[in-house]
Amino acid sequence: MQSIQELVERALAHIGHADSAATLEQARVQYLGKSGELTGQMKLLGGLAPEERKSFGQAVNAAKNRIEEAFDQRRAALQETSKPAGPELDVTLPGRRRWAGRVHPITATAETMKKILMGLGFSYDDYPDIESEYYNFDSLNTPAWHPARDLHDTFYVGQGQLLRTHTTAFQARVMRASGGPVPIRAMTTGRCYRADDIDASHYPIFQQLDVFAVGEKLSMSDLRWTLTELAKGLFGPEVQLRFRPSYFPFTTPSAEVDISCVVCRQKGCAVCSRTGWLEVLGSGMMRPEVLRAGGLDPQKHQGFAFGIGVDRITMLRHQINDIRLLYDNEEAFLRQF
Amino acid sequence: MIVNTRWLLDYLSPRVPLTDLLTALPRVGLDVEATHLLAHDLAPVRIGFIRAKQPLEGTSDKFVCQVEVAAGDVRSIVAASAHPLEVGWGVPVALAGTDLPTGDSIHEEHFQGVLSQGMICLDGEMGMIATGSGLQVFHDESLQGKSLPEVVPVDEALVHMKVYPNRPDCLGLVGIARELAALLGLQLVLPDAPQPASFSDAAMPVKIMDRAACTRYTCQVISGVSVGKSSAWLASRLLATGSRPINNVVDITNFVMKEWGQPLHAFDLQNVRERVVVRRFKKGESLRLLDGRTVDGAEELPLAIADAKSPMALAGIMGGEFSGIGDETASVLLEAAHFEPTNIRMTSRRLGVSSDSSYRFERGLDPNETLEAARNRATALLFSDAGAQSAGPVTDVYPKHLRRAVFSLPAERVSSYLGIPVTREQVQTSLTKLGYECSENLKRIQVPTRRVDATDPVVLIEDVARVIGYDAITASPSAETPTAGATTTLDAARQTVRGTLAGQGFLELRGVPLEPLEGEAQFSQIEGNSITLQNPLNSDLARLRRSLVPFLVKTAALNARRRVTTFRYFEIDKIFARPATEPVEHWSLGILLGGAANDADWSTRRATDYFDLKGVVESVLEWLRVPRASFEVTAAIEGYAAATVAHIVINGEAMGAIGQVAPALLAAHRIQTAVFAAELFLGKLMAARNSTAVYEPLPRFPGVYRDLSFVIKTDVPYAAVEQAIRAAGGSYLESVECIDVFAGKGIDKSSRSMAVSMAFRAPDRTLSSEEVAASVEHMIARLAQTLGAELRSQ
Repeated sequence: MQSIQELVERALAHIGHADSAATLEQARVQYLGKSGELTGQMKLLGGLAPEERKSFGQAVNAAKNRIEEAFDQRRAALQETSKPAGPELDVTLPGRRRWAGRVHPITATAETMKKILMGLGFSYDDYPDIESEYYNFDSLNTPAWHPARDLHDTFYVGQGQLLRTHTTAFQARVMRASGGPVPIRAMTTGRCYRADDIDASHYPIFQQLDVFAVGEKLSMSDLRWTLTELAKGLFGPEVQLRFRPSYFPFTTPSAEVDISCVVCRQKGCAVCSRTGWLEVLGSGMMRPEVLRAGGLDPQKHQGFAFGIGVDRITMLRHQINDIRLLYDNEEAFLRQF
Repeated sequence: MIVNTRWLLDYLSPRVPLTDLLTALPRVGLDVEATHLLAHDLAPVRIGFIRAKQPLEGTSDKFVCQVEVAAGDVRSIVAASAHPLEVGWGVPVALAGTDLPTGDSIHEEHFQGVLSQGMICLDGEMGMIATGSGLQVFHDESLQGKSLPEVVPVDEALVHMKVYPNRPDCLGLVGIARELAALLGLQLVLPDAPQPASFSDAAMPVKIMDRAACTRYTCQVISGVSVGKSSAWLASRLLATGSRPINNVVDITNFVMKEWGQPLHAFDLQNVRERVVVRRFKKGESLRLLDGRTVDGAEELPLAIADAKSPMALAGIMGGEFSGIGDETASVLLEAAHFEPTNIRMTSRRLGVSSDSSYRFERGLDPNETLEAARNRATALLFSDAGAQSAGPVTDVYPKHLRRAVFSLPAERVSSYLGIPVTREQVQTSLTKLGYECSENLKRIQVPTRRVDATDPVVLIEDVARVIGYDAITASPSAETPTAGATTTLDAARQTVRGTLAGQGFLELRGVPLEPLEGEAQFSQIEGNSITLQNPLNSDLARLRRSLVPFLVKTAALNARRRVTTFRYFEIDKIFARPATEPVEHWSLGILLGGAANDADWSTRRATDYFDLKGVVESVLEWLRVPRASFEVTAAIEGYAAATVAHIVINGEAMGAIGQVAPALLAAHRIQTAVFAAELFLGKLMAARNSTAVYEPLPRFPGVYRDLSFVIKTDVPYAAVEQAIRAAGGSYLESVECIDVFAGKGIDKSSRSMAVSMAFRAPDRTLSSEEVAASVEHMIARLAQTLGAELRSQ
């Protein structure tokens, strides 16, 4: 028994050191050949007592298998390395591969915001790009001939329908679909369209993310908390928020929200026009008219809402200075994110 | 709107430092677009000395001045006679190339063939309020060439701002000052309007025919005016804030509009026949406006201010030319009226005529105190600054007096909305500062009629918040426990698709959903008419796209110009069509593949083909957990190469299409390589998908594996072969996989060989090789019989 174990180890070492097909073959003959050492062991079998035969036979067979396996592996390895009959394997040659794919930075930003907001209890759904005047304007306290309609240059597609100028159009749809029970916490994101001429900061198509919550006691303070969480998730824990009075037909009180400049950390730079602050979104408490349009009772219900330009946040996150880059889709651009 | 801070401070006491004022403006809720500190922006304006002056030939009111702007540097400047100029005076000069804070840029210009190299600047032209004659004059020659702000203290700013549509009461300086006074704890100083020195009995009868459109009309005859140039204090205020002075009477009405926000109009009394009638234009009537355009009552019937015979003005928007104030005007009819906003807005839009006046009326003004204060102020100024001799009685037609709205607003509601404790006293003090009249218990709060936006108590809550300051609203976690946020299966699927495609080396694109009108059928698989814009920006963005593939191809073309040769792109977005009356939006996934199989590859350099893209599509479908798709050859789709288009079919329904992009289309884009594209309907795939995975017991018995190679006619598709094998293979046939396809040497030209690898397995025992052999024999026989397949090897 001792000798078989020793024989196997010797054979494996011999095979392992074989550096060519010829030396490997020599080794094979030495152990497994007709008059090889292991074959010789096999021949001993006949001389053993019947009770010993079984275990000795198994041991020799196992040894044979191990040596054959090592032989096959070594042969394969020798073939691999010997193929390009050159020097050793050049591990420095580049790997054969595709470049990593990428998600578009606008999508990545929107998905980051969605994740944060889902963690805060907001549910996501999609809403139509082609909207009615009712949901886009009237339900949002912006009736026909309201001067606030001037703030939106709207594309019309006929039959009283238009391309939504903001994702805020989803508010009454969500409230109506919910059928009344609060709290409601909803968000959506998608394309918005305004007849703006194209320049470094305007594009007739852009992406917004809109969010609202209705409950019985939800306040500006909840709004500020939600926005703070969102801003920290997007820009890091040091980011500061500032609320400024503003106007949106569908919120009162309304607040324009600034964040501390994420580029210069309020030291003053071109991105924040040396003010230390960046305007990032519009927000406020939902107007009674809007709650009513959604079938809710402003005496009992109150809620907050905000809307963010995803393109703008994307540009701030990555310090992109021209919105057109986002829609040109040059590979050299897309591969940076 | 442009606001000069020095002028604004006229209405505040004490006058606060400029920086305090500037930081307070955003707290009011005004949209400050740009702030020009004159001390900074006027630095390029230098003191130049007039060395010579002569009339400009061919004109009666212009001079050519030789101005020394630095020692020995003499420039020729053509100046108008708005202010007297003397040789030897030092004056502020803006040379060509200077941008003034008012927005004016100075260029070299020729007047009567004479080059003018700059401008001699009046105070107002630089955005400054005149404290003297309107032109700063220097006699100290040592100041020559010095920058103006170094020589005189300039402590004012021009603020370009937008007043949001809800606050037309801030379209005058008094309104802005009232807000600032409340926020900064200052006194509001209302402008002086002393009673006229003498009265006449010249009254003007007024009749309002359309009481819905004109809610109040007041006017007053002011006699004995002498029309001429405005004095410097007045002219500079208009100039500095973007209005050209015209004459003292018109300037006074404009000044008061900028001050109180109430537009006024002055008619030359001699052109007003008998009475004023506020009525609609009649068919056939027309009026030539002050800007030279003509309005007629042919289609629309806009509101007119007429006399006994004909219209004199387009009400609230613009005066008529013939009734305007001229040099010979001796008496004026001063109008202060109130018009219904929507009517003004509709008329202004329809006729394409707008003015500072219509801008204000269409937002809604105060028919009460503000209107009266503005008229009284204008009357007083006509006496003090336009030589008026007497004033007639005010005619005032006000059929339905607008009353103040009354609200109740408990402090608890304010606290609940803002989420911070607010006391009754805070509410009362804040609102009182803004001009509300509050009862002690806040049950009766009267809203000033100038606050047209205060249609609901929530507006009062915002007012309180502004006075307290938005900074006081701190962040606190929700009082109401949120439920878990969720998303839709479609949204989850989009994330899955992005993950798998990005993992396979694809770049996600963000396309432009609007396209040119032509090429609408390209790659489109959806039914119905295209949805076109009624008012497109331009012809390139005129129609909603009905396939994502054109943009993928366009992007490949763009990147090909940047020397990119391998294209792996996808986009997930909506596509649109109108199959019946209602538009339909489909969520779509577009994938494009072309070029080399690998980006980094120094050995094989294999080019991608159809089956690479098919494999990508199959992997996406697998990730989405939809049943196995069959790919079925289908009719041509424009944009794809002929005979390459297949529908991707699941449960008998086409889920999308795959094909090779037509080489002609690529040649136009200068792409050399073969490109393949697929487009899938995500909505349909969602309907077909299997929801949660259900466990199947793992195989317990060994499989038996057999490979077969057949020679088959080329027109027999692989799918038919696999189908025949599966049909003949018996119930133990577990899988069939194509492992080789070969055509060429040793095989008839009309045929090809196909090799398949099969696995057989029984769930409850080990299959014998005899059983498998019997199945294989049967299979070979069936394939020979049905497809004419010959066994090549086994």
